[in-house]
Amino acid sequence: MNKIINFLDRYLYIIFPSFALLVIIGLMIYPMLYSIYLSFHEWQLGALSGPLFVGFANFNKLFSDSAYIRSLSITFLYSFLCLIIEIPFGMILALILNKSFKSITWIRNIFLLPILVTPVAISLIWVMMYNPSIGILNYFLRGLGLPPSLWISSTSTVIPSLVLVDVWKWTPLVALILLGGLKSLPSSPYEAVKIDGATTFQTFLYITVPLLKPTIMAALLIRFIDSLKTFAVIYTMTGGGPAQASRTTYLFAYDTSFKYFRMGYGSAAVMVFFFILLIISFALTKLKKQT
Amino acid sequence: MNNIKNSMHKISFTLLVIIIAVFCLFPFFWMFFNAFKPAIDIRAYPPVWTFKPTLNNFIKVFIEQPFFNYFMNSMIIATFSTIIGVLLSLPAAYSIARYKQGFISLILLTARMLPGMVYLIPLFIIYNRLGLIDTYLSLIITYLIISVPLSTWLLIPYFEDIPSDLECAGMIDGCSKIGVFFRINLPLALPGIAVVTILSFVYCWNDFIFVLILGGVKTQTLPLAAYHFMTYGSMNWGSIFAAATIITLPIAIISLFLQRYLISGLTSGGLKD
Repeated sequence: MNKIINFLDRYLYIIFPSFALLVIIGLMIYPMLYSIYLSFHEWQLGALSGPLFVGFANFNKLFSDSAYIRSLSITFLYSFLCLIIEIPFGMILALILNKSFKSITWIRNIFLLPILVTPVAISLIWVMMYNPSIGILNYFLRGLGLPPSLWISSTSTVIPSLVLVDVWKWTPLVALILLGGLKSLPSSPYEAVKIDGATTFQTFLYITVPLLKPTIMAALLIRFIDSLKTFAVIYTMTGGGPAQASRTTYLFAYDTSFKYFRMGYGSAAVMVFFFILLIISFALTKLKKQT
Repeated sequence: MNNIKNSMHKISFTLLVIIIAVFCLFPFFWMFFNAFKPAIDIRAYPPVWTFKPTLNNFIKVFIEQPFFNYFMNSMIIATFSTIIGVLLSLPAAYSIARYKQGFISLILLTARMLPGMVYLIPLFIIYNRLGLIDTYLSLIITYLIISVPLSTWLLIPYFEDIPSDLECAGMIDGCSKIGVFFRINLPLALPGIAVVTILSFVYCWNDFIFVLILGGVKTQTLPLAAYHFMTYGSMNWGSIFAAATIITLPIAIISLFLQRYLISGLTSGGLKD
């Protein structure tokens, strides 16, 4: 017994993290390597022959596959739109909440709801609200004297409509992250510029933003990566339609792998996407470190 | 004069907060409101604001569909995955906090960022070969992908906050390192463990893509079942609103009661470097 305890004590720093690491290696890293292997092979799941090595053929095909290129541009457009709305709005919300009135605790409760609620439930509600003929949103638009919209049923409005859902769900999280950052800012610079007679806007621009930059970058990075990976909401709301106008890369990879069972091609599609994501996250992290 | 300006300021501020709150809450209100509407009123245009509330939609969901089974599937998978995940994460988080194993925490963070498709395609192939598609076992194991990195990452600060003096005291009294972990650190981290368990449960409960790819008829969870409601069937709006309400309710209750603790958990990823 004592021997076992001695052994455990000596190698505690190896034994303790090993369980969690095993999970990650077994369920994520090993499959990822397998995915890399697959991306160099042509393989139809269910076919009699196994994976056939084809070198870079999958990647060559991807770059001339207009559906794939289109899915990439849709994905990045979606993500870009989400970010340029969520970060400024989140900032405004955080600034409002930072004014310590009593309302702050209950509004924070409310903020948690969109963040935590099941994405599929959110899709169901928004699909109903977006219904062009009897949905509540068009009822409101008409009430305001505005023309009704086709929302997710038209190729031109589907992406903005999906972005609206994303903004609704995730701006509160950005606000909470930035609020946490605001709360931890030192008060002395504010007192100093107050004596110098700076306006509220000047204080925000020259004191708050620079001091808050690491937090803003962190929120940006989190939202950037998560918005690129959005699947449940888009898949359940539109399935990539209409006319594939909302078919993001994730949906493209899903269709290729699990509808047509082209495992090699699907893996290659994910790998290219992953590579782009890595490069941009790396650049953002570098930028974050600089500040 | 200043007083008037001040109160004007306060009123406009309150108004702004109310508008934000309404924007956040309206979809939930609309879902809840419609879930109790009789069938004819749901599809009425313009929308009906007064009606006799009915439980028909909920009854329909549970009678016409094996919704209780889906609910249990969600419960079983999320509960087991969360418990196993937290148990595996506790020692890892402790070790990272105590021995400053930054590299391991970096691996965990990277794992959280990894796009799911990267490992879901191979996992599907592997499970397919092992005959594990559409089993509780495979889904519980796979959901560890969600619960382990999340729980470990969130537990680290709780262990860091425990002063090492307490450990030294324990060691002097003749406790082994592993004994110190069980007798001193675990009890002190209990509030953190509770928060992390709940958050991890919520994330497992919410998942859609894992069960869509690796699940099937037998292991259909609530989100997948609700999605099938929308695609098959005749777009029965009443059932859809009722189903959405049922999925949302546990999460809404959790977030109302534990909001203060959950916020620190949710945002800590952003505040830590």
